Amino acid sequence: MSVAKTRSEDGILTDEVRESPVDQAIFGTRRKLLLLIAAVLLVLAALAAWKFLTDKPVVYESALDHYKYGSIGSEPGGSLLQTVGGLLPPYRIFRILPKIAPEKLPGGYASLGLLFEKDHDMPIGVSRRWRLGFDQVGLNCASCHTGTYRAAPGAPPVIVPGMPAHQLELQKFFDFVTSAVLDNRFTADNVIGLIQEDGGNLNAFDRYLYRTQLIPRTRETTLELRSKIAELLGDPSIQWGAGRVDTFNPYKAIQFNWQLGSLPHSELIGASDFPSLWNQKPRVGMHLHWDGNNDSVDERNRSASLGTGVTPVTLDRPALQRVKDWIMVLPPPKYPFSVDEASASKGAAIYQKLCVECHADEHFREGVVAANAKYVGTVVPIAQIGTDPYRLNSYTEKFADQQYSLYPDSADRFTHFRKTYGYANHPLDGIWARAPYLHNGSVPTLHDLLSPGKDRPKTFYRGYDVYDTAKVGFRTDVAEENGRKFFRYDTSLPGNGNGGHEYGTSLSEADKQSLVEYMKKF
Amino acid sequence: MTPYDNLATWYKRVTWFGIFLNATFIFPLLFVPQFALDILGIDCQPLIFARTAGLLLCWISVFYIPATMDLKKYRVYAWLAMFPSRIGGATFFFGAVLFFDKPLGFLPIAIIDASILLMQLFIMLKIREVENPPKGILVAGPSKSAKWAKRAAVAVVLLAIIGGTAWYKLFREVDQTFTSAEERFKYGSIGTEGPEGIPYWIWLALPRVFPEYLPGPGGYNALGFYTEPGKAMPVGFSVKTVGIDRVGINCALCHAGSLRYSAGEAPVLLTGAPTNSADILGYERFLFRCASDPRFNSKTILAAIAPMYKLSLLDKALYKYLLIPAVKKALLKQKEVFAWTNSRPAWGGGRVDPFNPVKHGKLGVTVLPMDDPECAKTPSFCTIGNSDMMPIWNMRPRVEGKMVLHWDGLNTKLVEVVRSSALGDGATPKTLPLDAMQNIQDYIMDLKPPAYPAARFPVNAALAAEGKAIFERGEESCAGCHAFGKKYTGTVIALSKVGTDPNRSSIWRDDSAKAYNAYASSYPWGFSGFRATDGYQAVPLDAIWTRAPYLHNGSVPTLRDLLEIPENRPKTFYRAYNVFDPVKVGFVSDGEEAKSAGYRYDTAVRGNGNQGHVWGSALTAKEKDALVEYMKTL
Repeated sequence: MSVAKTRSEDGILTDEVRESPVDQAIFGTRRKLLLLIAAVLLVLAALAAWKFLTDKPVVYESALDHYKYGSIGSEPGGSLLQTVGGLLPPYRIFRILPKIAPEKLPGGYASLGLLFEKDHDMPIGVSRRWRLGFDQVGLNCASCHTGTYRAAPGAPPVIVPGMPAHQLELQKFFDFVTSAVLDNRFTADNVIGLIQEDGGNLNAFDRYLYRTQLIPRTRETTLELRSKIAELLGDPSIQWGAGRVDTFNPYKAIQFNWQLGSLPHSELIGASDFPSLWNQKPRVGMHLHWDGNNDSVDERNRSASLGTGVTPVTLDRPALQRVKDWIMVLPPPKYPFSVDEASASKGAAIYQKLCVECHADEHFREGVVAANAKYVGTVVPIAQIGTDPYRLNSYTEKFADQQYSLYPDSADRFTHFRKTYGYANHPLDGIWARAPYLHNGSVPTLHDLLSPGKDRPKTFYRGYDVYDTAKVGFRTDVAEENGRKFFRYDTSLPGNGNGGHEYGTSLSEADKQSLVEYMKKF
Repeated sequence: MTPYDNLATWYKRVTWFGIFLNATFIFPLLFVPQFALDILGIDCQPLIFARTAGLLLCWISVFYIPATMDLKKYRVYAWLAMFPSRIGGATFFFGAVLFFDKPLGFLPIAIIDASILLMQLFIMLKIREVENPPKGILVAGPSKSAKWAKRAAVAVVLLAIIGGTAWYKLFREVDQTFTSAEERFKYGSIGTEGPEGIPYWIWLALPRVFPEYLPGPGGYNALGFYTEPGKAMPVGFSVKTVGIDRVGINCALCHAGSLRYSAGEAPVLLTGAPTNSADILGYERFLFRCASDPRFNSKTILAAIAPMYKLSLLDKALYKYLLIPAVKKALLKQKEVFAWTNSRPAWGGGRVDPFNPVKHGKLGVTVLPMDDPECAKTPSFCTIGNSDMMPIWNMRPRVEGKMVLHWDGLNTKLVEVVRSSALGDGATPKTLPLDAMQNIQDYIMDLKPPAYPAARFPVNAALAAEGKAIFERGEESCAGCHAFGKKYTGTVIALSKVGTDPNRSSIWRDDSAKAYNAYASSYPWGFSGFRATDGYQAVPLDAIWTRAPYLHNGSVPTLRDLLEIPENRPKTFYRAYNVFDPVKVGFVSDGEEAKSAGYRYDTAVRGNGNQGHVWGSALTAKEKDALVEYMKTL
């Protein structure tokens, strides 16, 4: 035991009385107690740091599973005091959301076209990641780029990664998630109760955090998100429908806080089809996006990531790189039904004359760009292609200018975006799986696309995945199946025009059939 | 148990606890490095480095052991464990996170090192005390002066650290680099970043926090600025590191224009041309409105920065406690300085009041609100100078021809005009970078104006030849005033003769000229060329097709309109739309697109009059067409 000391201006007064055995016992115990408390606090602090500072995605061994379920960082992140990014509520809440407002989504997430696989409780395209103390969920590339087809109504759906999610109602999904969180029934009691019923096993500390932090924060961020994109959710004239997304209007609001209400209404109409994501390698250097506004695969990827809820701060670059490496060489799916080779070879000759310059040929799937495909991946002026202009006009020069400030802290800053004045020619690999056609999905089948604009179907249903091998595309006459209502596509609405791209429309019926037969091989 | 034994036991416990904590890093790093790195959020490739770190940590830990077995015998190990081992780790990793933006995952290591170090140090100092017990009851402490010397030394070290950091983060200037003189003109500093620059992240956040204070969606470009494809900043904005990155404006903001041949085409940038659209006062007012809003606070602004960029803890603190409040305060002060503009017509895109801001803000010449009762007695206190920007190319023939500069010819020395313009943009005599100004002067001396896009819009050569004859015809010919080398070109034409709107001319009188000539007299480069005139310059017409709208105040939208008598010129039109009109020569100034992209220009507003300069209005329509055709080729 040491001495007691009193400091004064003149020196140190020492008192050794405390050296007695009694003192030793008293002060020794007290000191030990203090050290014990300090140690406990240290351990608690370490545990809290571990819980709240850990940023750990669920990792998947196979690249395919990583594509389907892996996190690219779209979960809310940043720091505890300043959460950024993310579009979906935390995992536990996301699971029970359909039960909060059952009448809003009676069929569950699957009825919106989200795809569920055995052994996975989250749909394809929804990733899990531990961030900021909780199990969070986010979207990834697969949500919009994984599709299904069926041979017949009774057949099991085949899930094709990289295929446009023609069955997905993304707008309705966001509408549901945000409106359910803002529903009156989204109270702490309800949410925690449903989570416990759902097997959440929240302990007292977590319940406290849910009640005081997570649930209010989820409401707050959702309210902010919803108010930013209100113009895109409430307006019946702005319907994305199945298989479509307005890429750039939510982007304007979420990334740059543009007041969408002060844009011309026509610029808010920009819904277009999800593109396929396979076989990216031969696309390097081509003008990507429907209007060809970017010619860098990497920038396109990082830009698309923003759409999943990533911010430049929360993006998981290695995870995205892993997706990129995979889609660079992901082969397009082979046409799963039979092909009439004789007819196809006739079609090949017609294709060589009419189509190859802009769209390359069937060898693109092997990464070979036909020598005479001199216009593939370039932009055709709108006056020449004549397809619906809304999507083109929704991407403005001022918007591109603002994109140049994204990812500002690194060599990743966007520099390749350009306002264009037309639509890009895309290669047709796996085109059979990319129906409906044209950028806005206004033409249901390849065969219809070879009819003059005025003769193409005026209305049809989208989102149904039974395949139509005669016309090449999905069947469009089914309005509802097992309670899921499909999207009625009306080509007379602004943005949905099915005119333009009149190439091949003057061929004979036999030639058209041969041409379509040939394109099955792409 | 002696006090020493007691302390030695505690030393043993603390040290073994430290070794145990080390082990929680050692084993994961050695055997499951990726797992450990993921938890800590640290990137380390190849993984062998992580394993190596684990291995080294293991060895270091082994060296802690001897002192736990026999502290007396292995005392030096105990000291080595603290210095340099623990203190080195703590300093290194704290520094990495706080100053070098490394992942937070390094922080636990620093915390462990620091805590163990403090505990061990406490025990070791106690042991020293026990081993050298104080002799007697009263022990003499250090003398007063020695104590003060110690305190002073600590204070000096602390001040040096704080001062060094402050200098580094607030004042350290880093030179910009550019690949060409043109790039430097468009994005280079003219010394405005230090005094009036806005920290880059605040600048970037403002349009996202306050979009409602902009005229429309589109960020700053809603104010008529132009961004070249792929560039981070609009033309005319410079980012310079003065401590932190700061945004300032430069000459190109007003002296570079964008023009498109049709609505369905990308614009071309005309460097050196007057901007038709940049709204300088609108930009200032946007900043003022932001600063006046209660949401202009550290919390809101940092929240807007957070998704874009991860500030280091030090930078975050700097923004939170220093920069954001300081910018707010400076902008509110600037708002007061600009209060005189509130009672005057807005400048509008493509226009500026070039000298009232300097008179009021720097020269101490009285500038009163227009509704001030003094205005009736002393009209010179209440003037409106709204006028177009001028082109700044082809300065060599202007200088060599001894032409006057500015619309009213208030100075004739290019070097003074360049420097004073930078002062007008926000540089101060102290920050004025003379070298940069010289670079700009050299650049604009031989900057060539763009040729008319004749490939796109063919010029009727026969018609243009007729026009040329008209241009050069007669005693008071166009050429006499507007062609290089002619008698009146680049001279001041009296107001009574030219007859155009007098407001711009009235803003600059002798008192202002005298004040500006005296303003920087204590600097070796002070001014001497400022003077007052009573008219407007007859300007040379090089690339006049890019310089619409016309007259000094931009009151006449096209060349063809200028050839009409004032009564027949458009009374209102839309300005700031950048699509070229190759027929009337100027920008498209009516129709829906011009209306939505531009703003309404009303010639009835004071300072906006479109009267005067009636030369050519008596020509026949065909002659006028010919004249316009010829002027395309200038």
